[in-house]
Amino acid sequence: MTKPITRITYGGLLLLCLLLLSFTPGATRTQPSAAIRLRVPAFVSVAQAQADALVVPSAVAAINALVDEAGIAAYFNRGGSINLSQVKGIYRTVEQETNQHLIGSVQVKATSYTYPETEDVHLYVNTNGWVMAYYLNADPVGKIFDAAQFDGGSVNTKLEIVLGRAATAIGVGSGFTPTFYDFRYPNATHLLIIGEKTNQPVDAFQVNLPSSFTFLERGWSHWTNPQGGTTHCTFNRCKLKLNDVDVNTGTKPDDGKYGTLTAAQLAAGQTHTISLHDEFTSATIYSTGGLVLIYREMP
Amino acid sequence: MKTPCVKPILFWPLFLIGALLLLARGYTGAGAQGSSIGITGADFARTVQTADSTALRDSLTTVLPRIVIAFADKNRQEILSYPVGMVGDVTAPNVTNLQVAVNAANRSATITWLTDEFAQTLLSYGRQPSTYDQSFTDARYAKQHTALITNLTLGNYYFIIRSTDRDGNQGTTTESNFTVADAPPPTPTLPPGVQLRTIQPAEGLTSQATNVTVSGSGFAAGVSAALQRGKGTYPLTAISVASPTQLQATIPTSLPAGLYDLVVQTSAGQRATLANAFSVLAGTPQLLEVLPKQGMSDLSNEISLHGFNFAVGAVARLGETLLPTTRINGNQVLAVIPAGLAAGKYDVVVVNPDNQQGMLTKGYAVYDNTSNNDLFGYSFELWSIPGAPRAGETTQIGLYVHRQGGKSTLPSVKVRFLLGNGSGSTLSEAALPFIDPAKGFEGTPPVDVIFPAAGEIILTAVIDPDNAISEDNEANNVITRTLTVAAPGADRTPPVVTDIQINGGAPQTSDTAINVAVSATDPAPNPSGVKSAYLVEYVFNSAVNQWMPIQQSGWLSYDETPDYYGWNLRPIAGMHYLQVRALDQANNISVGAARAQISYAPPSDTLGRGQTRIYRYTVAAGQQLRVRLEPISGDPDLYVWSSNVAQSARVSNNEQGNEQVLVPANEIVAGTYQIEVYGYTTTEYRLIVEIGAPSLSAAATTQQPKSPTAKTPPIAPVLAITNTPDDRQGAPPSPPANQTTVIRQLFLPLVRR
Repeated sequence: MTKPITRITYGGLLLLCLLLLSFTPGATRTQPSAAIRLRVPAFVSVAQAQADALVVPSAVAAINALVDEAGIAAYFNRGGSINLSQVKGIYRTVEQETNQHLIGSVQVKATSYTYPETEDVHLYVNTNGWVMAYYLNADPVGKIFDAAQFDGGSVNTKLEIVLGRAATAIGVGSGFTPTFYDFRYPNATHLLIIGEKTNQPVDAFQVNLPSSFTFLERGWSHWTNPQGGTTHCTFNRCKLKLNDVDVNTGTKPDDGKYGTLTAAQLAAGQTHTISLHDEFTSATIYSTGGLVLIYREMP
Repeated sequence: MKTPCVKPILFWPLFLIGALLLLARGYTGAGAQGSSIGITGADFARTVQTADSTALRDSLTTVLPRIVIAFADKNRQEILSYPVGMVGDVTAPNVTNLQVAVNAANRSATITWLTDEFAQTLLSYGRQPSTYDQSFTDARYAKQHTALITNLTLGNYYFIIRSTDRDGNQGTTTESNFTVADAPPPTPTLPPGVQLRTIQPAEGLTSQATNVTVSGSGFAAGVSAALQRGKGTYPLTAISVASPTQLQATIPTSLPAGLYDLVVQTSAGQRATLANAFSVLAGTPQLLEVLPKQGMSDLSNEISLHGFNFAVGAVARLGETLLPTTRINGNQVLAVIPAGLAAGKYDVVVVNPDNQQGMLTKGYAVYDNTSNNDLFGYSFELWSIPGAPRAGETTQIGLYVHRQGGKSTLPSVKVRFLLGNGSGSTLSEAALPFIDPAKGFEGTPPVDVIFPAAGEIILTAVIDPDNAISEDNEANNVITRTLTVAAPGADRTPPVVTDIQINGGAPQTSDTAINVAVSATDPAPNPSGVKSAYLVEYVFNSAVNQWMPIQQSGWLSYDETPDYYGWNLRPIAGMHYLQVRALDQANNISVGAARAQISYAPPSDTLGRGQTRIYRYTVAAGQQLRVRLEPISGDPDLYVWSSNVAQSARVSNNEQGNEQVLVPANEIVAGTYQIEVYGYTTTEYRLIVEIGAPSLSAAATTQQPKSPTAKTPPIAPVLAITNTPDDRQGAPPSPPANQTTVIRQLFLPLVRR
């Protein structure tokens, strides 16, 4: 009987402390989303000032700023106007809201799996029908791979999950076809995702990049098994390797990492082996990973 | 796909391709030779009939490069597409930071600029303002842009930049321009030790001291310097070493008029010589020699005039005709005799700006190109072996005879050799077996003579002494030179010049200042040691079809092996041969077989109609040769000959535009290539020669499109590719009287009238 009381007492003290702290002047704790909305990014202010001076619609200034901040993106146009109030509800945070558009971040939430907030996707929705999901230009392209849900079947992206949520909200449902673009690489022509899943200790695939292509980003993605126990990945048992050299070592289950490989690591004209290592996998518990390449099919 | 471990690389499509390749090569297995395959003890054998795989092979050729994936569970490819409608950008890119870097040596320009957003590049340019007939395009988007424009020619270029962003907005800059000018010639690396390169100014008046700056290397405190000419040495004063590569000094007053060598010596005794470095002017000009001294009426002719006191601004005249003149120094000017002058003998005059003049009466003859006949010779082609005869010993002498015009071959042309001037005693006679018409050139057989006593003598050769042949000009048949006959000595073996390196073996130079490394040895028996070297510079005069000694040194002190000499080529484009003779302490002189060649390719050159300029380059196996000829005015043509006489010339003779000849590495005939630039009309041009690995710029493989032309290519080179200045040409001056003096000789024709 004493233990629950103790827990409640400690919990109450903790809650009281947090409340006091939240009202203390000068507190440095991260503010909730309402406070973030007050801190409009500097580039938006500048763009707005220039837009006012040039009598350019503010939406154009905003999209110009977006073009500068965006990296890999997927978009569609619903072919008609959008009521922003319909879609506003799916935002975790709203960074900018005007009569014409919404910009903010949206949780990557699918039917059977929800990614942590580190995977949130930015979403731009305009009343003129445009919907675009994107990661910021600092994020590696490997981040888009919906690795946690990859079962060896279709290859999906987190961007499409968020586009799907937006589409559902505005009444389009699954009736949209996404188009991809990477604002960092205006000369790229293609995106390629190669997915691998293992439910055995080691599984691998091989890839050979043609020398005649220009590779603008060689991304990788690695997701440790979502159903694994807390000790699942101890003792360096969850790994993604390139040519038998460690690229990533997972330290806990249900954790994603992504990054980029150098041109020397994934050189063109050579056959490379990308292997997933997981000693505790089973038919239902698995790790996933793969490559995400942005390239140009000409020099 | 599941695998228990990393799977081996098994691209079975590659295996299939390999099999098809074998098929394509006609591989049919061991049994295809008509004999049966003997099989013993096998459990089973199967023969598979191969099918015609042509269609499959054709299909495979349509497979484009792709990313090859094996064993992956799944992949997905998406085409990337810019959301034009969504972005809705209506602002054109803004161009800033426009910069132009011209590489005159490569005839290229690199233009860089920035745009404030990703944009494509279209740079349009041309030779006239607002007229852009050429362009550089890069369809890739960028914010930092670079346009490399190649194959430029001298002059101004005008350009604009059109930048197009991803939304299709296009901005155009206002017109900018740049100029392609000649690049300053690179300064060659001088060898270690004290070396000389230039002296500035290179001339002065005898009436006043001249402050000069000497460039070179290895200068240090304690250095001394002097001008030398003949037996005279004139120390420079107020010597100050500004740096290891530059010193300043003063040339004193009252030096005799003439051309001097500059000699610099370090405190450690190292010595360097810049031949023909400084010209002293004093008073009235004197014209002593014209080379060549005749030409045809239908061709322009480049002549060299030698003498004293040619002042800055001096011009040459032929009779009353003012000649285009290039003054080299106070002792030499170059001039061009125009085509079309009436046949006859002309006075040659050099006129200083103060109207004082030096004249050679009837110093140049213009021959009718259709009817004339003349025999003549030059003193530098009156030869002796050994170069320095010895009293009482057999000496071989001879003469090269030239023939201008004529209609048929002349048989048996007599030459008489005299000791003394034209009235001296006869030494011997020889006869040319024959001499061809037009520009005939033959040597007499060697004649053995003995000079009875040591001392300086005059040797004379008289062509056609009995006037058996009717000539238009009978006054140029007597050739004279001075020889020094040495006393008998123990060392009778002449030294040998073993190596000559011009600018370290460089094939060409765009700077007349060069460095010549000479290696010589004095072989046994009784070697006395190499004492001096003598240099003669030759150019080929196509108007008279003759090698011309355009410049000579005196006997230059030879102090070490190799010894380096600073030299200034005469500014005549084309191949220049340097012939070097060595002199030992016993006054034996080597034969003139030692020579080296360098092609002088100035930023531009001019040619008269019908003239040819010849360049020679050595190309090794595995290299490729690219020759580009850029007309600045007029119409020059390009002919390139290999050393394989069976090959005809590679020709580029468009009627306008650049000419280009590319000899790929797999077609190179290792050895000498002769490049002939022919003036189809009077022309100014620039020649660019590149020799190197086949990886020379891709632009090198682009030939200029041929325009229709009625020009007939030559069937033979103007000059045989093996033709070089003769060993016996360039008669050396008499040996100096002692080791420290320098003797200079100008070849002075003695004309009997």
